[in-house]
Amino acid sequence: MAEIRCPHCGRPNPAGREICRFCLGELRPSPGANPEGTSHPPTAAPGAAQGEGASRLRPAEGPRPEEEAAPPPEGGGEPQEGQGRALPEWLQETPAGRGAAEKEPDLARAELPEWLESMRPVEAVAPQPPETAERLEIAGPLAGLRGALPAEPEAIPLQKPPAYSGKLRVTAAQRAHADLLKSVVEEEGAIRPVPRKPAFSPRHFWRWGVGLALVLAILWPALTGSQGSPLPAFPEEVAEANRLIAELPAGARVLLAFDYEPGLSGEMDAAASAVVDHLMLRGAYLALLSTSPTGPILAERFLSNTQASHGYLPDLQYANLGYLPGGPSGLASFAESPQRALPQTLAGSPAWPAPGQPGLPALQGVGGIADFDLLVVLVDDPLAARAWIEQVQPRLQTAQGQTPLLMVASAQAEPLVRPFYQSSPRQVQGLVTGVRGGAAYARLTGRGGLPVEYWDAYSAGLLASAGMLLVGGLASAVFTLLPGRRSRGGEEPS
Amino acid sequence: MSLADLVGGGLAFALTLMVFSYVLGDNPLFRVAIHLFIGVAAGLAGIMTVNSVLLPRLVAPLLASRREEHLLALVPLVLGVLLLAKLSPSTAGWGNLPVAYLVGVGAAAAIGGAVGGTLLPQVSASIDSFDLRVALQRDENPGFYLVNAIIVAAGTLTTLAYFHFGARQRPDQPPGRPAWIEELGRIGQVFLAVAFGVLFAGTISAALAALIERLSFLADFLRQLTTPPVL
Repeated sequence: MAEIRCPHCGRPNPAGREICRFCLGELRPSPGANPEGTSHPPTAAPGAAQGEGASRLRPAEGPRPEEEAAPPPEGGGEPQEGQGRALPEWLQETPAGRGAAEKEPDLARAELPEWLESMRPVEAVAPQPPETAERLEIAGPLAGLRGALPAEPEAIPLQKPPAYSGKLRVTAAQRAHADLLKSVVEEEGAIRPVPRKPAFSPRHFWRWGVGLALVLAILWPALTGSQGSPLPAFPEEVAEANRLIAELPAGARVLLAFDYEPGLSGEMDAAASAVVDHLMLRGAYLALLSTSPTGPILAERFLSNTQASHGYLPDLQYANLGYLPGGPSGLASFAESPQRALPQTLAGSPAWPAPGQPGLPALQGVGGIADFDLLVVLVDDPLAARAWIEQVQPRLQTAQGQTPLLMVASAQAEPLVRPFYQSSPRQVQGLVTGVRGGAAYARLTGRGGLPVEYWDAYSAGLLASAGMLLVGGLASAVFTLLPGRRSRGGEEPS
Repeated sequence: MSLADLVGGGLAFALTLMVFSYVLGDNPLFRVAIHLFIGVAAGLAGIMTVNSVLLPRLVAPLLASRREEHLLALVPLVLGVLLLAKLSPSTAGWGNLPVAYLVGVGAAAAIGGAVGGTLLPQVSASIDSFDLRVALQRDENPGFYLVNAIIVAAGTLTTLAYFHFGARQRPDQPPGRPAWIEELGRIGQVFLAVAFGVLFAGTISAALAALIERLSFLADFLRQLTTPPVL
């Protein structure tokens, strides 16, 4: 009987069949196949991947034709693993075992009728996918799939990462600094009892001594009845202030700003009393205002306490315009239009002349800031003084001339106000500072008042303060220069 | 002395002594007096703001009969209400508009005033201080005037040099100021020390005047108490 070998599994099939009865592969010779019927499956080049169709048609079990023809290992050595060993009985039942059994030459192949062959399940004879070089995923969501691209290219050799030491390399000095910082931070969080201060310490005695010395020095003139300190000579700026007031016309309109705090009213009242006294002597109408909320009350108190003898009446000889809010912006607004910035008095009555109302006498004929005959600012803060100079003083110059600006300043503000007086041209035309300036002004006018009353006590207090500063400075210098103190790095004397 | 004067004077006398008690150290009497002063000052400031600002400039225009005043008063009213929104973090954004307005106007006034009222006039005065014609106009000794001008210029320059903090890289040394600026800065330190000393002396002088005023008040009050009334 003529046979035709399957080109796929190499097994003999009866002539005339078109499909291999073993592997169901086509038995027709493909173009270029061996005409003798002993066709071999196309072999791929070593190492090259075989085509998909070829691998699908190649039977999984059973040796390839070339494998069947392969010679046994030379030298009669030990057979390779899996070769020449008798398979156990149970293993022969497996397809691989059957394949091995098919190698047995004595077994005759069963001839199946065509109707039975056609009933064979395809899966039973379908070729298993060949074992290829494709990797099999064994884990993860792709487990069981073949040929999946590897997550890491296998061409890249994996190597152990370099090991770095976790130990910080620091010097001994750095370690000491770190320990010091750590101790400081830890001490911050620790609860420590507050050391109980002694009821009486050298510091207390020093404080009482200084206070007692100052009080005694101040009270000494009053206790002894001595009036030995002559009033100070008037400096140029005080003389200028006096000249400006003395040259005021009768019924002059003067703007008087009370820009100081209650804490310094003692000094400011003494410094300003002689100046305001001179203004009232000249019969000037006063318009009062303040950029401090407490200023309007201080103004009323000042007039009632220090100038009661003049008998100035509110809304007649003076008008208290009250509080001007806004700081420098408010001052700029007031310099631009006084009527809009402060339309009413402190009591709430209309202050400025308007159609249908005459306005207060102190503001008659005043349309702008430059219409005042004099501007006097009582100020204890250099910033407030600067605000008046910067915002208001430039608007005091008109084509008709300039309204002079006179400042009565606290002694603590004098160093920062004096440059405005000494500049050329002067931005402040007259300056009276502190009790000393007030006393000098009182000497010029020949009248008494607060600065004259305070002058003796003020002189004695200043002398005592200067003496204590001098003694304290000398003592500090001696303590510092002592060899023992110096060697200890300038520690504070206890 | 009336009853009101007696009560007011006695209260002021007691409060003065409570403040003076600080010479013995911090104590409750001193703290009570300080708290009282702060509270009274804050209350007075609040009343003054209401009476001098809110009532005449906001409430009165709103109650006025003229429509123009109503419209003009709406601007500060709206800005004021928006400023109140700053009280709550959730509505604080609404308060940015009035704050921006306040800051912008304040900065413009302050900067414009500082440049035009202080910086330029003082620079001009420093330059003109070398003009001896001014000394002759003021009837001053030109020699002293010139020396004074030189001291002012030296003080200005050296003090500015002291506040120059620019440093340069130097090889093998930490960055530092040029040597000549360092020397000028040392001289500027002297001027700064003198300036601070003068400010300190002024502060002592002002505090001394306040102490004299208080002691004078205590003495006057005791004198009035001990003096028999004139019938």
